[in-house]
Amino acid sequence: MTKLAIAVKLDRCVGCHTCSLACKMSNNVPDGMLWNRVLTEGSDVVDGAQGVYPNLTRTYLPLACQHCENAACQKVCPTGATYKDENGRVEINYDKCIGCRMCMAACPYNARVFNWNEPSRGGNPAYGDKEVPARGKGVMEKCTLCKERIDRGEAEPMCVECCPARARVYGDLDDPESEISKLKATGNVRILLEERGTHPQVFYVQ
Amino acid sequence: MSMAKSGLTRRNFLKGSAMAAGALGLAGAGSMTSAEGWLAPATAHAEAEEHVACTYHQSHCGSRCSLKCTVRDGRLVMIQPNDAASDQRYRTVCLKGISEVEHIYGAGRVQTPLKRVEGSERGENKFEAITWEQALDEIVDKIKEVQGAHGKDSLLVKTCAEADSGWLAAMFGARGCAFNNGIDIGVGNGLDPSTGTGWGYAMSSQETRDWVNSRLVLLMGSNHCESSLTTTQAFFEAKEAGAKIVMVDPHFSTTASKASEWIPIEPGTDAALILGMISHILDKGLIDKEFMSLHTSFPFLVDKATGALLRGEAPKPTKEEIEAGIEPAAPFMVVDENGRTVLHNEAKAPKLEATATVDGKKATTVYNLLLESQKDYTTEWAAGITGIPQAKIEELAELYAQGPSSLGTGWGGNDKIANADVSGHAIAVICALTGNIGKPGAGVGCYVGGNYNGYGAGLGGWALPEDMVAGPADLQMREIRESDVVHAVFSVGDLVAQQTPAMGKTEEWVKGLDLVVIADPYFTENCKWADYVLPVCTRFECDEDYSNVAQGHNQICLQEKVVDPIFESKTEFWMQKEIAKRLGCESALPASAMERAEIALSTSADPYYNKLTIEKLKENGCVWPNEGIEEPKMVFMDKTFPTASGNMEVYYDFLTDFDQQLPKWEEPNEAYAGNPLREQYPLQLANTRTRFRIHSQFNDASWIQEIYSPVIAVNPADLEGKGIANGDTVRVFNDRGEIKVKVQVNESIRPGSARMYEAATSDFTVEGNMQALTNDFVPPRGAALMMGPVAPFSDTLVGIEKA
Repeated sequence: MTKLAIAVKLDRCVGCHTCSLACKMSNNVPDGMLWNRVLTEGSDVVDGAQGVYPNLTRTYLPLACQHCENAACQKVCPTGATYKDENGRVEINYDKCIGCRMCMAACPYNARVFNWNEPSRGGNPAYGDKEVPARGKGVMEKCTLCKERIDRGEAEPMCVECCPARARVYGDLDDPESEISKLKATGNVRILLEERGTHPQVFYVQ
Repeated sequence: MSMAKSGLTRRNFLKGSAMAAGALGLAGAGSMTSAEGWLAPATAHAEAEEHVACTYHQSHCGSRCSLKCTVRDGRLVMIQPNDAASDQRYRTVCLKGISEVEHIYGAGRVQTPLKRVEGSERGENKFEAITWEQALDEIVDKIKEVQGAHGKDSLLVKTCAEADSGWLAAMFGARGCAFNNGIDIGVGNGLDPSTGTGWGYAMSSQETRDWVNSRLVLLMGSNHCESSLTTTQAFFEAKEAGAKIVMVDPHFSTTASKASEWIPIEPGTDAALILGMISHILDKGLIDKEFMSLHTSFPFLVDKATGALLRGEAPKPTKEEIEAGIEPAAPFMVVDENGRTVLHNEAKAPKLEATATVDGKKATTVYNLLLESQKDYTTEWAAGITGIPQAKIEELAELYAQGPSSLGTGWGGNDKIANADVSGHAIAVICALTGNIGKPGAGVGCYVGGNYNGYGAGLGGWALPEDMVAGPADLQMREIRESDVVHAVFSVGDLVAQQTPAMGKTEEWVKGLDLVVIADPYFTENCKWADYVLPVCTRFECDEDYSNVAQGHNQICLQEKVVDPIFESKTEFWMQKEIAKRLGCESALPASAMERAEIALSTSADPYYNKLTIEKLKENGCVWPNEGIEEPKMVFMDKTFPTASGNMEVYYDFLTDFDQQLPKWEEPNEAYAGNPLREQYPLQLANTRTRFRIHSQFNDASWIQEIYSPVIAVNPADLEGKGIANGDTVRVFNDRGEIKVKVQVNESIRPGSARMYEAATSDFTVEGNMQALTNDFVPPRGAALMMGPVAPFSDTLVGIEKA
C-alpha cells in the first residue's frame, strides 16, 4: 500500500508563506483563497508571539489538509465527492461536489475552502499546473498533495519543492525506508488534534 | 490589440500550432487577441502551447534566484526554483518570486507612458497616456534645455539596484548620488576602515556556509531568516552542526525566534553592548595577543599630543606604482621585542603595551589608549544602557572571545541609527582583540544572501567611449535637496519616497524642479511626483531571446526572455537605445541586449568565465557554477588586510577631530531613552525589512497582500489606556509629519518601540507615507566618515493615538 504525506519540521519553518503561494500558484487557487496557510500559534496576528515580552516563544504552523486516515470530511460527504484514493490521499471529485459544505464543517483543521462565488484570479487567470482541473462556483477545494504533479511522476508537491528552509518532507509512510517514515519513527512528532481520532497522515516534527 | 500586447508572439503561436497539430488553430489565436481572451478564466489547458524559460529574480535581497518559468500561450503561469543549479542550496525561490506570476500582470503595473496633465501640480497624480515616441522626444528635448541652461550635472540620474539603465548617467553626463544616500552604510562606516574591504557596506564577512565551523554565531541587526530568506538553510545547517546562534534584537524577530538564544536590547545601543563586552574581555585577559601584535594596529604608536598615528617615511614608488598613480603607504611605528622603535613591518613581535619618545614626541600604543578609553565602559554600565543583564553581557563576551565566532552585522537595527558607525567600530575592535577573523568559523560583517557574499564571477562588461562619462556623485540626497545643483531628475526606481528620510523636505524639493522623469515597471509613490512616467519591463519580459547574465547564488545566471513585454512596457535596454538615438550616440551602445550579455562573459579577465558563452549557459539550464564553490568562501585567511599597513587597523586617526579614534559611546540622536521629546513622542519607530518586501517592491503584489498589508506593530503595554485595539486605524505623528495606518498589537515588539516595515507608502497605508516621519539628522562627523553620513531612518520618535 501507499500512504502519502507531508511532515513539517517546525524548528526549521521560518513562517515565510512561500509554501502558501507555491501551492496557490501550482493549483490555480483563486483570489482570496489558500489551500495552505501559515499560522502563528497562539497569536491572531502575523508573526506574533506567545507569552509576555521578553519571555516569548513563537511557533509557525503551516496548515493544510491533514490527509487523515479516518477523515471526518469523507464520512459526512453525501455524494462521495470526497474520497480516500489508492495512495492514501484525501481527494475531491469536483464533478460530484454539490456544495453542501458538510465537509467544511466537519473538518477540525479548517483546511477546506469553498467557492462561494465565481472564482476570480486577477489579470493572469490561467496560472498553475496545466493538469489541475478548473473549479467553479459552488465547489469545495483543498490540498490534493499536488495529485496531478505526483501522478505524472514529479518528485514532490510544489510546497515542498519551493520551501526555502527545507522544512517540508514528502513521502510514503508505508515505505519504512522513506525519509518521512524515519522522521515519524523518531517519535518526536506532533499530531494536530490527535484526540479527535481523525488520524492525520500529515505530522509535525518538533 | 496588437499581437505583442496580447502576450502571444508570432513565434509562440507557430510553435503552439505545430505542437497542438492545428487544434489550437485560429480560434486559439483569436481568443488571445481580444480583450475577452486576455481576461478569460482558466479552463482548457490541454491543447495549450507550453514551454520553460529561465530568468533571474531580484538582486536587492542579496539573492538573485535563478527561476524556472513555465510559459503557456505566451503567459507566465508558474515559477519554480531552477533545478539545474549545481547544489540544492542554490535551487531557491521565495514568496516574492512566486508572487510574480500575478504581480507582473497586476494592477500595479504602469501600462503606458504617462504625462502629467497640464495645469496639475506634481504630486496631484493626474496623468494622460502618451506614446513612447512623444515621451522620449519631449524628455530628451527638456533635458537638453535644462542642461544647456544649468550645466550637464544639473541632471540627476538615479538608478536603483534592480534597474538595468547603467549607461543613462554617462549618456547624459549627469550627476549621481553619493554613497547610496546614506542607506546601509551605517555599520560599514565604522567597520570597513579596519579591514580595508566591505565597500562601506560591511561586506567583509566570509560566506554563510562557514557558520557550521563557528562555536558562536552572533547576529546583530540582521534578521537573517527574513531578509536573507533564501540562504536560511545555512542558518539551520550551522545550528544543527552545534553552533550557538545568538540574536541581539530589540524585537522578537523571526530570526530571534529561530536562534538558540534571543538577547533583547534597547534600540540604538549595540555599541554599548560591544564596549561592555570589550571591557570584560580585557579584564579577563581573553585577548589573542599574537593576532593583535602581528596582524592589527594595536601595537602602533600614537602621538599623545595630537592623537595621530606615527608614520615612517613612505618607500619610493616602484615603476608600476608610478604608472598606476599609486602612492605607497607610509609604514607605522611600533616598539619591537627588543624595545627599539622601528617600522611596523620590521618588527618580529611588536609590543602591545609600550611607550616611546620619537623625535621628541611622546607616544603610546593604540592598545594602551584602548585600555584607557574602555575604563568607563564597564559591563555594569553597559547593562544600564542596553537593558541586558550584566551577567549575560559577560557570558556573551566570554563565548565570543573563546571562538571561533562569526559576528553578523546587518542593514537593519543599529545601522539605521545616527551612532551606527560607533557600533561598527566597536565591532572591529572586539574582532581584532579576539582574532575572530581569517579562520574557519570566524568572521565579521554582513552575512547576507547569495550574490553579495559568495564567490564573485568577475564578469566583464560593455565599455562606453572614453569621453562618455557620468558627472560627479559627490552629494547625498539630503545635501542635494538643500542645494540648487539639481534642476532635473531621471530616476529608475523610487527616489522620492524610498531614498531619503523626512519626505516632506523631498516633496518640496521635487516641486521646485524643472523636470522629473521616472521609469519603473510599477506605479510607485515616486511616480505621482513625475512629469513623465515610463513603463519598463520586469526581468521576465524581453524583446529578444536573451537579455543579460548576472551573479546569483554562487553561480552565473542567464536571463532569457520569459514573456514578451507586457502592456506597453519596453526594456530598459531599448529605452537607453532610443534615448541614445535622440542624443546622437547610438553607436556607443551594443546592438542588442544579447550582445551585451556575450560581452559581459567574453571580456571577463578570468579564463574560467571568459570562455563561457550564452549557448553553454543555456545548455546547462541557464546557470553555471562559480569556480571553487565546493568550499565556502573565506576571507583574510593569510591574515593580511588591504589596508595601509596590511594589518587590521582599529585606530581611526581620521576621526581625531571628533574624538572617535577609538569607539566612544554616543547616544542615538533622537531615539534615546532619556530624550525629553519622549513625553510627546514616546515610541521609537523602527524601520525594518521583511520577507514581504524588498524595499519598496512588492507593495502591490496582490498574493502577498493576501498575507500582509502595512501596519504599525506595537506592544500592548504601550497601548494601555489609549482605547486602541488590534486592527484599529491610528494616527502616527511627530514634528516632521503624520500618517494613518492600521495597528498590529504584537508582544514581539519591544515596549517603547514600534515597528514598521520600510516603504509603507500612501497607497498601502490608510493615509500618508511612513517616510514623512523619519529622521534626516546628519551627524557632525558625517562628512569625515568613509561613506558620509548615515541616513538614520530608525532614529525616530513618534506618538500614536486612535485616528
